[in-house]
Amino acid sequence: MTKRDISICVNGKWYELAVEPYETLLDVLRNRMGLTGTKSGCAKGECGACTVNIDGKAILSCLTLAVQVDGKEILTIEGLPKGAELHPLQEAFVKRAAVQCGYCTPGMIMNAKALLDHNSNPSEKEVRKTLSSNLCRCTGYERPVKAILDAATIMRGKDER
Amino acid sequence: MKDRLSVVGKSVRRIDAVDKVTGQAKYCIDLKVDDMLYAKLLRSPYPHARVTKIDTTRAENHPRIRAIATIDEVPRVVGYWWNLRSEKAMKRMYLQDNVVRFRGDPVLAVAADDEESAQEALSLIDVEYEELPSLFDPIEAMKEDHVKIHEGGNIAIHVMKKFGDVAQGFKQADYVFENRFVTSKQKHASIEPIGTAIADYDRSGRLTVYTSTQLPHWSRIYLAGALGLPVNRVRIIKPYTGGAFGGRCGLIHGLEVMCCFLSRKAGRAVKMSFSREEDFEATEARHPFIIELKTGVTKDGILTANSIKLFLDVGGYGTHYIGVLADALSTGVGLYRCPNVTFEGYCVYTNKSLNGAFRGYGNPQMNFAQESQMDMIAEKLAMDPVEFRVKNYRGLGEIDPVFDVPIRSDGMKDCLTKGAKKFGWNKKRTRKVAEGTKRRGVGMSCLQHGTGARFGLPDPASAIVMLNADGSVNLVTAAADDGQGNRTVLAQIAAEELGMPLEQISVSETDTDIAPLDGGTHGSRQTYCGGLAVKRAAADAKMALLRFASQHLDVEEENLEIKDGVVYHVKDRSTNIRVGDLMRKVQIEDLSRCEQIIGHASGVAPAMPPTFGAHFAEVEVDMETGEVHVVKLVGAFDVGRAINPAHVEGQIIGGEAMGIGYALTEGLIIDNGKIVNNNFTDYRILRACDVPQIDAIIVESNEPTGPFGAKGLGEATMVGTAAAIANAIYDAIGVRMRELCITQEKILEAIHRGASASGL
Amino acid sequence: MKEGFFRPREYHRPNNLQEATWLLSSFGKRAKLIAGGTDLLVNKPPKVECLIDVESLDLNYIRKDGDGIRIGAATTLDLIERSPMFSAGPYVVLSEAASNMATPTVRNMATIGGNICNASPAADLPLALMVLDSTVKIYGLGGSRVLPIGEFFEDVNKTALDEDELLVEVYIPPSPAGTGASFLKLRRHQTAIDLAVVNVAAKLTCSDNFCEDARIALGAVAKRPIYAEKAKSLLTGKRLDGKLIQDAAKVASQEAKPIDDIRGSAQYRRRMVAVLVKRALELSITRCET
Repeated sequence: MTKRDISICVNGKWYELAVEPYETLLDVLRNRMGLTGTKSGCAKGECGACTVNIDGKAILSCLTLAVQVDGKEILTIEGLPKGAELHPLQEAFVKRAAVQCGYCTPGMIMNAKALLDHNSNPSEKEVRKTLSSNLCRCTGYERPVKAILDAATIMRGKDER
Repeated sequence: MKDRLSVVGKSVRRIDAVDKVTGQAKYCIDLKVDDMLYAKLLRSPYPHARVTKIDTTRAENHPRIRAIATIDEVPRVVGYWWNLRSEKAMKRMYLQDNVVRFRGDPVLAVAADDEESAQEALSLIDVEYEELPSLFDPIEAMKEDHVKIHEGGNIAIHVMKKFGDVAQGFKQADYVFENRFVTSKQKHASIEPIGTAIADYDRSGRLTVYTSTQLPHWSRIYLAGALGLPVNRVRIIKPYTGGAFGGRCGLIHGLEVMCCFLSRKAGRAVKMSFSREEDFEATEARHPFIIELKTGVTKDGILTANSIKLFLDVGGYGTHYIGVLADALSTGVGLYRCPNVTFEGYCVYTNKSLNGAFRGYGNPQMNFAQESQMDMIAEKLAMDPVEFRVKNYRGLGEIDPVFDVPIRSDGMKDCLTKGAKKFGWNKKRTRKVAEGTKRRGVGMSCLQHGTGARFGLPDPASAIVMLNADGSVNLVTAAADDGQGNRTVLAQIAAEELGMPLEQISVSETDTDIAPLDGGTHGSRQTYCGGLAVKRAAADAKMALLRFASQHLDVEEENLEIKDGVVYHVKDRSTNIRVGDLMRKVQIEDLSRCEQIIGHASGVAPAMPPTFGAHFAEVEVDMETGEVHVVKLVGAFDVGRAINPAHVEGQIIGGEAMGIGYALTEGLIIDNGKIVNNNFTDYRILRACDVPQIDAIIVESNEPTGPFGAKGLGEATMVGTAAAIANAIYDAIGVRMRELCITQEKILEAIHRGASASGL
Repeated sequence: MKEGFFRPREYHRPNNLQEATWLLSSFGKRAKLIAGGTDLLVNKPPKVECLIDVESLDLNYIRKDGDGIRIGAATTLDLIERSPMFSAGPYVVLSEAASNMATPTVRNMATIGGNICNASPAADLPLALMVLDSTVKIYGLGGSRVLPIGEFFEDVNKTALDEDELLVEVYIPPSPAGTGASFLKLRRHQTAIDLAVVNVAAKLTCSDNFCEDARIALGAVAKRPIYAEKAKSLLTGKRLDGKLIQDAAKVASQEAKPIDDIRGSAQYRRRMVAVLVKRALELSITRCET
């Protein structure tokens, strides 16, 4: 038996799992835990659709082994809303019509979340640079960039209150 | 064109946006069925071979392998669309032989308890091949008599169309331009890989297939035919789709059909999911064209003759080639007023992965050639390229000779003038910018792209509008939404027609068991064709509603209107009844009635109205490295009416970005039949930091045959981008780039050769 | 398509270097170190039995050591890109190289050690390290040893590491006053994120336009990153002017040994070496004065 026991905290809840050394975090989230919001687009770290947050950083789950995140806290798209309330980024993507097919959207939002957690007032250039980790074939990136800037404004407003 | 519309014309939220931003939207790759098996394909390593032996004994003994299906029993589904029109022709859709025709062509499929076992099983199967000579060049393949990729020879079709007398036309010309252009094999590269399917052939002989097809009803018929089932026993359910762009326009080669056969054999559901590499290597792509174009023009700038000769590289199997070829007529014959045209096309098989439908179909290819040529003509005549287009394009009231129908809405002039103004065309054109090693240039193109396929293919659209007892509405449609947002737009049309708030409309799942016949999401047709069906179904429901209201309120029907879900007397608003209250009475309270209102419609649209557009591009070229950067792009499009302006803008910006890729960065590279750039590092689609400033301009010409004046858009947005960029490059450095994609090496070479404007 | 699958059966996270080297020597070729995973999990090599994670070896640091700087091998590229230690002076070349690699999210995970040990001929970071005269510290069963970075790369994807060894640290010595360095990367156009068609780093130490010392490193034009030694000799001890820079650039392009591949032809690459070296030298000169 080559499986190893790991404990991971996903969206605030701890789970005990037995995983093979070669299983990626993406595999575990999608196939073991049924959290299909994190997407597989290339399995090589080129498209960003599999982006999650670990220790506040945007991380590609397809290039992370589950065994490597033993003991860590992971945030996925499913963990963003607070109860029925969407995260400002999610709201902004909806409001700005920044979602077309939606396949790249969770990855973009998780990447943007990590950005805004570190930099509450990014310039458009900084947003585009960060978003260059996420491939999108539908939108041409214009509205997702605007949505992220909107969300940043709203989140700054909330903090100031 | 300002009128009192409440929902149409507003950028309302997409009805599925929340599902997508929360990760709740399920795509095919996310789905599971109880007790499901996992399948993998064994693909041919040879570009052309006969499979002489398949020994599956070792795999069959593997404890977790449940079924194997080979090409000896499973047909390839090809050329479907054209053959759909007659039962006899439909038999030609199912190709059954033991020849593999491109590297990656499926030989067999294995279904196992888990993915790992399925993958392992492939190495337990012994396949023997008799290699056959391969043909990679379509011109060579055309001339080749001995090596036949298909029984009928290597020319899949040869088409010749004549309008007027070109010989005469060239005699009348003062200048004749003759050029050869080549375009590339672009890949859809949707972020959800193409593709995944789950087939569930249950014990009572009913087949359910989950697949992200653009054509649920046609795919249902194709699969029914492949399995010998009546259509009503086949159910296609399309979940959320992560982008299509033509890549899912029917069935995916080797995917659904193999899953169905495996499921039938195993008695369990079977799921197969292609990797990104398989997507790049073995699913449909854009047809590469060779275009030989000869155009004659008078010194006053009137076109006298156009001779078009096209060679299409079909790949190993033909699916959409006839339509792709026909679509080139749009630009080659339809766009410009020219009395004498010959249009000749060859579609040729080669031993490379198959080509099919891709945004624009055959129009981007033809447009690249034609609009480059027109740019050369305008230069020779010392005419503003915009002026030249205005002078020669076929517009309002004129007959489009391709289908012999009049053009009923025409926003071309607005596209050209508004686009030019936003871009700063006049200023930029006369100002030469050279700074250090950089040179800037500007270029433009115009286009026309038909909406739907009314005159070419079976093109039905249907809708059902059901009013519930509380006044809420269920809109039932098989319109496949791949990200364009057509389900939202159709809800807007239904709401507007009914006079109900948008929030009261709910749109059905895309499920052929419940949703009526629809021609699919292709040809930019859903807003127009789907929209017309929805509008008619809603009008049907509204008529019944007003009849009941009339009885209830004791008012003549013509004196009633519905606004915001309330039926009002047009002159006395105090006489009213909420639709919900009325429906409750009719459907539940009146025991002698209990009648639901079910509006329905099914049929074809009356026309294929062309969408007009113009692109303006500014580029910067580095003379030392040959690098080109697009610094600004303006896209102006006549959509008839923007049902949802945010959607339209989204299509424009996304389409232009894809067009820049077509011009400068994309194209599958094939070496000896092998696709060598099967990943996102070497198949480069634009990223957020690559996209220049793109301005989107919406023009509304009010198409009289369209729902609230709308016509299509999805494809038009990238039809002319490549030509505009190529023309801008010419303006910058005096070199004509006639081959896509335009790489920096080709530019540098051309600069060094000092190629002149009219030479090659 | 690769034969066999990536199916390691063991995963270890050693707490010290001795444990790490012991594991490496026990498993030999059947073991792979894993840091960010951004090369290993893309390549997924078959026949790997054991994974050795560097996470607990305490190799994630950037610290001053006298006038020089030490970077732990497991330091992620985003920290190098943003570190205030590399925001000014000749060290800027390191942050430039780091910021030009892959995508921002990949840089959150990829490590300097992983990148160097992958030894791609087109890698960006090695060029910056080479012109800065960096050294690498290697740890094995026999203890540690230090190598100049230029000697670390032997061939395509092959380094000077023995089976029992791992890279632990990169040391960047101080540069004399009046030194300016730059990094340039030529990609395929309209794609800001790409592997190099050609990449180049240059460092000049000059006073009053007189070149006291020079380094030029070329990438993607040989089996490993190389120094343009002849070009360097041409420049050293001379007065810098447009013609000399042009000549040095030309000489550098002749030292390159490019091949044709999917990203570019050999002929184009050779030409581009000259263009990039010229531009990098010009840029470095302006930075000498600051």
